[in-house]
Amino acid sequence: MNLDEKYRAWKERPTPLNVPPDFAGKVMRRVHREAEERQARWNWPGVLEFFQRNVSFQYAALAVAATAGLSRLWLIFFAILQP
Amino acid sequence: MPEDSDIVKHVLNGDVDSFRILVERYQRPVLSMIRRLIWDSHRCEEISQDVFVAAFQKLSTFDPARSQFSTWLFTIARNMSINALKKKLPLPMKELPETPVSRNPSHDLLDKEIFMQLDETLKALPGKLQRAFVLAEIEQMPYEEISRIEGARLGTIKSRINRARARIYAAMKDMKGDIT
Repeated sequence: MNLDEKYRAWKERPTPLNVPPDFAGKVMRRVHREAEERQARWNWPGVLEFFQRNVSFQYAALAVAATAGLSRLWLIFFAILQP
Repeated sequence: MPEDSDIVKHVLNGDVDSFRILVERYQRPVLSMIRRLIWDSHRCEEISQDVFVAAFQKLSTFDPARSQFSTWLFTIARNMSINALKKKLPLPMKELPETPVSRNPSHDLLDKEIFMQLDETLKALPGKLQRAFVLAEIEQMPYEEISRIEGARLGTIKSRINRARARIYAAMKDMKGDIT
């Protein structure tokens, strides 16, 4: 066997991989636990994540902020101009 | 068969059970990759489970426009393997089953010895070279995908693979025995 053949034999040797029994089941039990915990807690990263994903909510927040900002501006205008 | 990105959408919309499809689809490649990077079948299962749970936790950050789900998942697996190796637990080297293709028992023994030495050489390589080599040569991943997983340029990945291969060849040349 030359070097290339030896290299290939090493690299391509059969290494049977047994997926542990119930691997997906174990993962899913942890995933469900994680999902339940996430639902139970009210955390700021979760709120930010919701805000990041929900575009209509972003527009609504922007509209509220703009209205609030403009109403303050009107107060300033009224104070300066005293109509 | 549903696309990965469709399943991700279902999970993000609250259908947690759909995540099982992704686990069953990728459990074998993830286990295989981690076993090759960690060299410990006992910790391999635990780390692979952690990879899927982390993927579920971070699922909202997955952007199908930027990468495939598999690339994103393998990147998590790569990062968790690096973290696991940093913990510096003893790494048993004789974990991988050795089933060389051979002709007779004496050759079997010799091959086994050579293969073990090559495994040692691979394990002794710097992490970057080792990962590039394992992903490309053993896991047979396309270079572009490895480049995205490693966050390195394609040329850099090719260079790492070549350097790793050169070191393996150098180790084979140094070995005594009937390698001719």
